[in-house]
Amino acid sequence: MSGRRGLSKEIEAVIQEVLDSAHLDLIDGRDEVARELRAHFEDGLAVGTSPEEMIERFGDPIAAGRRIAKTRPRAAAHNRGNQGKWWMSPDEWKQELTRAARRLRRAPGFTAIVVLTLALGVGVNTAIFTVLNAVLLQELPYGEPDRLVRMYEKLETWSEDSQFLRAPAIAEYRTWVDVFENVAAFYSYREVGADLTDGDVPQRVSVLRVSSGYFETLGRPPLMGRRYCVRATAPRPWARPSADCETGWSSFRSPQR
Amino acid sequence: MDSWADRENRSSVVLEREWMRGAAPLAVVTLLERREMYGYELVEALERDSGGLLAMGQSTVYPLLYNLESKGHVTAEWREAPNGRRRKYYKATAAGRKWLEGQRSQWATLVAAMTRLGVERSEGAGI
Repeated sequence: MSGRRGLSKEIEAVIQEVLDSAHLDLIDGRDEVARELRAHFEDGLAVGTSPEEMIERFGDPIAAGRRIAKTRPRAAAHNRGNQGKWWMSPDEWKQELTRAARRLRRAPGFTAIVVLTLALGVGVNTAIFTVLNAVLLQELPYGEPDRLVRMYEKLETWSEDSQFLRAPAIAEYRTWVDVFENVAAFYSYREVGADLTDGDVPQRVSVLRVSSGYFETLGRPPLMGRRYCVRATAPRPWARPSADCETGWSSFRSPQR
Repeated sequence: MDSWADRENRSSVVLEREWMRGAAPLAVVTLLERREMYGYELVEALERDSGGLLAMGQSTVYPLLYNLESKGHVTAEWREAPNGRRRKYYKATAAGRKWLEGQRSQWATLVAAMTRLGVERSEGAGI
């Protein structure tokens, strides 16, 4: 039984097995590898080795194919002059990228791992950069953030993690006009929910209880509504405004309805 | 075909995989530095000239050659042999020869160091 060029079907089957395991493209020199392997067997047969012995001495065709898969494309790229080359023509780039895509399609497991690794890497980096950008790189959204300070009192009788400022102290600091341009206070950092019923339809709003001078201290105007006036809250900075002063409720409405 | 005498002269030592992996490229470029060869010829020369020590599965030589080709240590050319058959001939490049020089130097240094350590001590020698 003989196949092409006088090689037996068994030998042709071995060559085919090598080529199938190697997954080579034409650009990788699939045909050339096939020709070289046929020449190899023909040379062995020409010196009198039997087909069976040639097959035995050749070794495992699948293992051979796998080794060729790793080495032959690199040799082909080297011979094309494209290995490690960045100044390829658009046609060469297209050829290389097409080949890379085809090889990735043939190894879905590997491709999935690569894509997942890249996605994870890009995602984590994006998340880290978003935090860094917001916290360190971007200026705080205040008028003069470098002039903003946070103050709190520390008394011996208070626990270590207490961060409070008593109302009389705030009133006192407001008189230090040579030191502070404005002083405002939070009742708490935590927003609370409230129902706003001054319109036709009641609304659920978020409320942050702050003193008068809040927007002046931050150096930003409110998005909507009016600011508190100092008279409304002194000397209790977070007290509700009195009737003779404009209220600031609308200042706290969310812009989106 | 190997003669009976050739088979008798073959080494009975079988190189471990790692030794083989290190020695085979060096042996191949050494042979191709002397003259160009095609795959089957190279496999036979490796087995014959190394006394069988560097005999490898014949399929192993092609990935090895492709690897050396990708590194620019060898180059290949299809040519018609005197018997009319077309074969792919491999030969060492200038870069391959330079690489070989470096490998030889390392090889000599390694052998000298191992000799000094007494690795070559014959079987019967006592301490």
